[in-house]
Amino acid sequence: MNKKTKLNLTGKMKEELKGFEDLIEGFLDEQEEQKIKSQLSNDRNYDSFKNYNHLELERERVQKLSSMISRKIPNVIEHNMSGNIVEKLTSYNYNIKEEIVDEVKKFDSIFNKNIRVLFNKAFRVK
Amino acid sequence: MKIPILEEIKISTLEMSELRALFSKFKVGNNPCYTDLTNLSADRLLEVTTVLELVLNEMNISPKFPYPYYLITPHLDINTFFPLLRSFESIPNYFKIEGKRVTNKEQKILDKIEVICSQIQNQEVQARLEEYRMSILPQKFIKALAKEGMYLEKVLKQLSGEK
Repeated sequence: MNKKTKLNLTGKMKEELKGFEDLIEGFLDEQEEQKIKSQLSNDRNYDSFKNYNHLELERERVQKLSSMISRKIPNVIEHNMSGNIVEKLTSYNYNIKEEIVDEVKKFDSIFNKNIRVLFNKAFRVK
Repeated sequence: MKIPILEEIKISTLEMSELRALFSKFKVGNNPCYTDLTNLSADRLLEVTTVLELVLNEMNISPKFPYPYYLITPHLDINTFFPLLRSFESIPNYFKIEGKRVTNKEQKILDKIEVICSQIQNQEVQARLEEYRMSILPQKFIKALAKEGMYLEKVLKQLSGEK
């Protein structure tokens, strides 16, 4: 584990640096990161681990591709539910439309009220 | 099998036999490759991609799976089955790795990868993808129907709530 470097500061210095804590912390973190990177690049095993890891990822990727092409896509094509869903949604929408028309047709519906007002205004006997 | 590393294929001729030899040499389909066609106009590019498509179809190689064969061009709107990219930088960094000597352990993984790749190539990848594309076409219609249903529900709710 990496230990963060701690600065030994006197009380006076701490007071002077008040408000800059975040900035200093960010700077120290950055330095720490660079140090780790340089350590990794010096490590002889790092490259081989990197290579091995890449190949493992590649194997997983190719395996997933293979299962997608040989199993998943044929499954989706064979058990395609689109037709049934379209049928269900169409009949559902048709039923709702009928309900809407029934609502509108009622004597005290908003539509009829508005039509009544319109007609009464337009064709009033003077 | 070698570690699959991105390689550039420079095409100097459109003769089918030479292209076939070139693709076999660079192991297109078993290795990520790209060809820079930035200097071609849209019409010329269409001609070139048509010939390349013919050759790859003949060799039963998919330009997408298991390893892509990218074409770099500014004309991204042409109709082709090749993955098109605007620049070399757009190619995924995943394929841009350095070639190194492999250890026994790594060679074993590479052998596994080779077997899986040959399994993929034994399938008719392009035909599968086309079938899949056709089978998901009704999804847009389903979306439109569901949207209409939601709107109708809202209207009905408003009508019955206003009383």
